[in-house]
Amino acid sequence: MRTVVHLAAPGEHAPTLEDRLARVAQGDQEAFSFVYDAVIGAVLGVARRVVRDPAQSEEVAQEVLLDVWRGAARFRPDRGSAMTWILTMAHRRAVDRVRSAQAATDREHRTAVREHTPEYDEVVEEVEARLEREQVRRCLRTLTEVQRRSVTLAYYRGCTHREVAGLLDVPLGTIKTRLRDGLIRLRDCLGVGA
Amino acid sequence: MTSADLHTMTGAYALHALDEDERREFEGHLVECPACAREVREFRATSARLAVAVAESPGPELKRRVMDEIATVRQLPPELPDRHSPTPVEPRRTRRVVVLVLAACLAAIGALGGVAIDRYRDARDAERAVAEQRARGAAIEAVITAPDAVGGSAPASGGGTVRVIASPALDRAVVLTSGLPTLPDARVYQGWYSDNGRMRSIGLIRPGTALLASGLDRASGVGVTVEPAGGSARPSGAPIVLIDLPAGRS
Ligand SMILES: [Zn+2]
Repeated sequence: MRTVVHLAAPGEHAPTLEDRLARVAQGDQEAFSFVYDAVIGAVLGVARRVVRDPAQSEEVAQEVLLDVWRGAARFRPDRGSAMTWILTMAHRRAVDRVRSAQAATDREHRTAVREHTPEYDEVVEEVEARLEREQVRRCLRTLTEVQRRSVTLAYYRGCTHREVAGLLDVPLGTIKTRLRDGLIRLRDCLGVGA
Repeated sequence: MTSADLHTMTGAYALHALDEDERREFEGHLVECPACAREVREFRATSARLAVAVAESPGPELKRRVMDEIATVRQLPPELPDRHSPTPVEPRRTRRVVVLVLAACLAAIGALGGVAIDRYRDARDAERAVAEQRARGAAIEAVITAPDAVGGSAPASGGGTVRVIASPALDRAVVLTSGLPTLPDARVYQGWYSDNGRMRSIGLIRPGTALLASGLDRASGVGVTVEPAGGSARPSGAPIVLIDLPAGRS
């Protein structure tokens, strides 16, 4: 894959992901290519964490990107950033995949076909991801143990709050509160605004 | 559910961790509670950071596939039947009729009967248990959805039903029970392959859980007996159920 570095001409501000998405909504495939590059790493990352199977994770990522293409006109900037919109869909898709039973089809076959590890350049996003990883890790440590486990089991494993309660041996009624408290701490530590 | 309870569901909702019913109920609440709506937006932005933190590099073919595909996919118009996400694209994968719905995360732990999860105090152990259960779930799914899967079900003599699905190609069978009576402490259910009447043990069966058995070979059927705790090397009595697998498979 090409390493894409987006440099703005002097005096001009670089188009944001939201700007690009607006172009995508007009059917602009080149803008979509930029959006793809900006989000695919995180989309695939979350799919991989939740779905586990590499071939299926790629399928999920592909579906998410098609959702982005198809639904770009329905993105609502007043409800959050484009990145959040896309990654929320990605998590939803990944969770749906593990919660549905239709998954096994062709699995072995596809895995066999894509077993090789492709070569690629280190993209800019990877560097950002590394920094992000450090900060998220640091912030996760500010959560209580139950909060941290609850959040990570729900987010990275796609567990429902019931399943989390069973796994952590915590009364069912309290997990929702733990998830919320954990996210509040994480939000504040990461300095996330709406 | 009181609205005080509903306000606490923002986190579970943002992480897609509610059950369907709860989700619908909470979405009803969201339209009329700006505080929760705001909190959900913040939590979504927060969890997006969790995704970025685990970003991975895709192989180059993925982009090629996606770019090829968008060239043929029509976009949705902007006017909204107001929802946060677009109607999902229907996957073109052909859907099979699946005999049994195997749940996500860990429905496995309860339904497929694995490990007593309260032993897993440590998160890493818990995660490993999740992974194992998932792998087991995937293996069971593979049998159930195998193109050559055969099977049958029959009532057990003491009540309840036993169902068997076997895949000769995978050399495995899945035994599912429902409604088997609870046994006294010193007794257990045990599963067997029958090779035209010769019984080979495939392990103990916990009622309500699935047994995944390998070594199907040319078994002609699957039976279940009641045995002393720990199981037996050979059946100590007549099977409570014996299900024939279709003959003449390769
Ligand atoms: Zn509320």
